[in-house]
Amino acid sequence: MKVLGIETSCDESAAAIYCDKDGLLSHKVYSQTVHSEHGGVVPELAARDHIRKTLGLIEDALSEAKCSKDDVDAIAYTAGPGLAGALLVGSMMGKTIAYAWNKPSIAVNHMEGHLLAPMLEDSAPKPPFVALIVSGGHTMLVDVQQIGEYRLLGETVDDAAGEAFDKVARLLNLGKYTGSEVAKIAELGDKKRFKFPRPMTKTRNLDFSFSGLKTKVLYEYQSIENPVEQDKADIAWAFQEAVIETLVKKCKLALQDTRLNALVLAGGVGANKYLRQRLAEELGDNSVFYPRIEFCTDNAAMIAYAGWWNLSQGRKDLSLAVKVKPRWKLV
Amino acid sequence: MGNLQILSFETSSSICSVALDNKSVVSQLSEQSANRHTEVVLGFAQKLLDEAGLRLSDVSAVSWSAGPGSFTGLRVGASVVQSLGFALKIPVINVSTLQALAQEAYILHGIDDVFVAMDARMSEIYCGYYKLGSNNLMQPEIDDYLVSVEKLSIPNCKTYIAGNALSEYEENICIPSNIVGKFDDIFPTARAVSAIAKYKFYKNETCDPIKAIPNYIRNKVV
Amino acid sequence: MKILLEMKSEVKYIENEKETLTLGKHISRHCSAPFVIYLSGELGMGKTTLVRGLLSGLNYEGNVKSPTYTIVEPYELNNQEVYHFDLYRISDPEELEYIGIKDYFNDNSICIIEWPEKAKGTLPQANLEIEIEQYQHGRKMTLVWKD
Repeated sequence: MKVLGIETSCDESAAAIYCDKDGLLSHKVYSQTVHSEHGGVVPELAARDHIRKTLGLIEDALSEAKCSKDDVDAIAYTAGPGLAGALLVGSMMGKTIAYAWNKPSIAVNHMEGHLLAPMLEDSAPKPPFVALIVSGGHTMLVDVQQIGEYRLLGETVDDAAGEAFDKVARLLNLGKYTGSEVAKIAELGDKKRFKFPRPMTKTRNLDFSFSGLKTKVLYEYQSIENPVEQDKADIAWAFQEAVIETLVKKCKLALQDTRLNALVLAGGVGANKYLRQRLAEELGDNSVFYPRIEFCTDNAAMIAYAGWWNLSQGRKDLSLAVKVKPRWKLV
Repeated sequence: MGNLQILSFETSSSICSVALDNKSVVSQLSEQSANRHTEVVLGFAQKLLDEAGLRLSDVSAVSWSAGPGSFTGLRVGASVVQSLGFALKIPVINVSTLQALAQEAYILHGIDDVFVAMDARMSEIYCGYYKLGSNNLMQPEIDDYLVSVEKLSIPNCKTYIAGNALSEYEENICIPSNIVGKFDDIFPTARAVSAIAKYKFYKNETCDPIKAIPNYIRNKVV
Repeated sequence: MKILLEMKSEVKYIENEKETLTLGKHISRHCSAPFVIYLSGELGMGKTTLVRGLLSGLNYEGNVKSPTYTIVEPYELNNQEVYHFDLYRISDPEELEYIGIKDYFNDNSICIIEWPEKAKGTLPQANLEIEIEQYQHGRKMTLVWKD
């Protein structure tokens, strides 16, 4: 069975073909560059770029997989959560192609896609496990008893971790204001100069809070007269350290609470090298599963996979109505 | 020429309409559906095909109202025609939304000379000027453009004015003395798109599905 | 004696997070739906904290997430709704129309809006404008009531 997956929930346009027999046959991603000067994704610009790029990616994914209409069994598209205008493009395209080819379509939850991304790897984790989904819009710990059976263990009470990285990039006036710039400059930082608090780690609950860290960053930054790059690097390191140690602590706690021993790391912040390294150190290499970097950031391979899985459970949609769900909750 | 079937989409305003030209018999479904275009548009297409006893695979080309208009609405139309064009391997025909509005004015009232003014929000107006040409089609005299309400200048000649900007900015628009009549309740429709599309199809003014990109006109959004 | 004023402005000096929460609670006593608040202040000034205080004053004790990513976070309370907007990334008021912004401003809602200038012309007038600025190690909060 072959599923075409389409993803346009934020600032990546993507298409991929997953086959239950042969695995991933192709995957194509276009990362938008139009937002760099605006300090964050501009919804209207994102939607405009999706309409220019998505169909080309679908064509490329199909031709690379040597698939034609007759080879595709279903079409999966991200219906939420995400930006309404961006979601609309991929959803409407997915549904319309399914209609034209007389195939079922499946509306996929983007977070479920992230959560299942490690399943695309050879060393895929076997449920039950705990998943840490951490991205620009989300920070959550999920108990996965089996695929499709999710329980929320904890989530951010204010800013998502990725959002905190992005906002710190803005505060420190770093390059294109993206969270990855914070991670990059942090590598050059003095590890001893600043120490920021680890928010909400004194309680046993599994919620996160990253909003207050912004204020700490702001204070330290303002207290420096004529800050230079090294000052920014030192602050960035202390900030990243605080976020990552918090994430690691809560992951350990979640594993203890659930008495599980495998952790799946997913979402854009999961691409952070230092986070991967620290989790491996603290939990042991064998208990941490993460997809390759390109499947951490938004992609359609995970959507095609999640679509296939839902289809295998008998879930499909033959209606002609498209409804995007910008605030669709996984659990 | 007799066996042409064109499916047309108009999603640029708060009204969603779809039309089917089946061997020159045109049928249309439309609904005032504000933010529900994505929920109704494909259903309309299928219903029109069912009523005509056709299948989607019988369609020879798709056309759409490509702007200017609601950004989101235009992307509903673009997503649909790109996908249909690609999936059915048929060409797409882009039609100006303002031309479709002018054509609808002709269909409804036989107007052959019209200045079109559509509300673009933020105190701006999308404008176009159309006159009846050959084949009973409204043709542009100038390129469609965007202008602020204060700077709007309507040609003072024996023409009609049509479009919702008239009622939206009633107090701020000065209607020149030579204007013959105004219609603020005319919206672009899929049947008007269809009429223009058919002509363009025969003139080979079609495009690859991937080129069905909205003409927003307002390109400075940030 | 009753003094009628068209606009009342107050300035509060805040030392820490706790006081921000208290001020939020205090403000909530003067908000009854329909009510619109414009909230301005740079990153890290404690806008979300103030909103959390305000919501707790309305007996809401759950999470108060930043609306930066979702653009709007809704809170359903017993007898009214609170909507917290962050319009920073909005480039055209049409985007707001599409998320159905008109429906949020109803007789039963309190709307708190960050970056209201991004949606000029589409938003209703504010009943209260709050500006948060840094002041020494604390915050200066200017409240302008318009009624």
